[in-house]
Amino acid sequence: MTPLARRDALMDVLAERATSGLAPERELELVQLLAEFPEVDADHLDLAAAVLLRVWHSEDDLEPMPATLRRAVIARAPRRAVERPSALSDPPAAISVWWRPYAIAATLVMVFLAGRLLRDVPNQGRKIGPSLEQQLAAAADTRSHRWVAQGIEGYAGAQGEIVWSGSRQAGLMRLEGFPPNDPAKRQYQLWIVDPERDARHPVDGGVFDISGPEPVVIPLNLKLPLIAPRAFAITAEQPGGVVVSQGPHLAVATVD
Amino acid sequence: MAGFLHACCLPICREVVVDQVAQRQSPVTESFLERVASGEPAAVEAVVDRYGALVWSIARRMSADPHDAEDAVQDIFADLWSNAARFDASIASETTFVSMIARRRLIDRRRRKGREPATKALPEFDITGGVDRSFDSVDLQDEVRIAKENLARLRPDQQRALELSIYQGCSHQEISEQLSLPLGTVKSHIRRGLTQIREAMARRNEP
Repeated sequence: MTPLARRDALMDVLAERATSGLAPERELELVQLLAEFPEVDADHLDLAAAVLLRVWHSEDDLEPMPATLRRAVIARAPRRAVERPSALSDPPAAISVWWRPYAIAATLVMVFLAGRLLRDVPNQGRKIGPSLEQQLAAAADTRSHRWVAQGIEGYAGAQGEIVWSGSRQAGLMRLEGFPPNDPAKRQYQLWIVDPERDARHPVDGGVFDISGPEPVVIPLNLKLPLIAPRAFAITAEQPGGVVVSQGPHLAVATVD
Repeated sequence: MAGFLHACCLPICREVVVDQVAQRQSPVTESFLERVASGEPAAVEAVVDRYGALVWSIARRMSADPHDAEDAVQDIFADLWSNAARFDASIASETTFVSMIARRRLIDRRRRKGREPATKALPEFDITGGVDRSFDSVDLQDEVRIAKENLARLRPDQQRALELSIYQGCSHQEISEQLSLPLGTVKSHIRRGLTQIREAMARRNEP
């Protein structure tokens, strides 16, 4: 497909997002297309739709919010500043906190080391302890989503399920039919499409290895909490994984 | 004694004066969402008072019933608090941003719950008619003007497809049946109409 055709495809998906919403497969497609056109924002056509609504939505259509609802909304609002992306570049507070830069640096070092440790201990289908299974069984919102092979040569037999509980922020994957990988050459990487967290970038679910032909069960090892995952995808990447995947998706599990 | 006191107080007084000057010099932002993002205590109530009717009205229009609309409004304002820092006045007016957040959440809720029947068909709205929103910002009025101008340049079936989709919440399939147009044509009309308006908005914001 030509770049122009790809851009048209992106606008198609964005228009669909702005009017009727996207099925999980289309969310995946949007993430891939946005990666090809970084100058386009996920809200690109949502803004146009919002302005158009104002054309038809006259003053006569407005009705005051019920008082009880107003009170409930205000009561639930956060009482402290919401997260700001540029917080670290803000001008210093009037009262100097001399230890702040050291605390920030120490935190960053710890996060980096934790990330490296977690990344350097890939899951290899370790036996899942009863506690994770029990946690998932006990959670009311635990759901299972089936892996569907995406027609990539060598992975036609890929299947299984991914089990996830938002309330526990825990889950596991059952996989079979994935060829074993040589960790020195290639590792599997899990991705989660969670548009409410970030419509453009999927969440990195970490790398894992498959050492043999038998089915494996792998606990999820996520560094970020998920809000409302719409789809999961598995790719094959360089050892250690990547920040941005070029695909292809070997298997996809959608949240219906 | 007086000299000693003066020497002690001077640094404190100077610090107080510097802080007061700093406060006078700090810019007073007109964006309610920026005030929320900066943690101003009164900003939350100000946002709810300013945009509550808009959010509630959109939610009523796109929800199955009032109870569903109330739940949706809670979700929408939660989204607004967490997205307050994303608002960029150089891209769109605050009202448009709030409307966008509201629509996003409502479309998502509708999709998860399954589509409700399309709202009752309304008479076609004369887009040349004025909508006087005296509290609306100059930016919003300008955006609406641009949208109207670009909408008027579209063919009638394109205008109707956009109105049925955005104002009446019809699915593409429903629009296809109502206008007796192929589904692909409906999608194309909507895509081109939205793209045209978005590009016009971007040109307006160019220096």
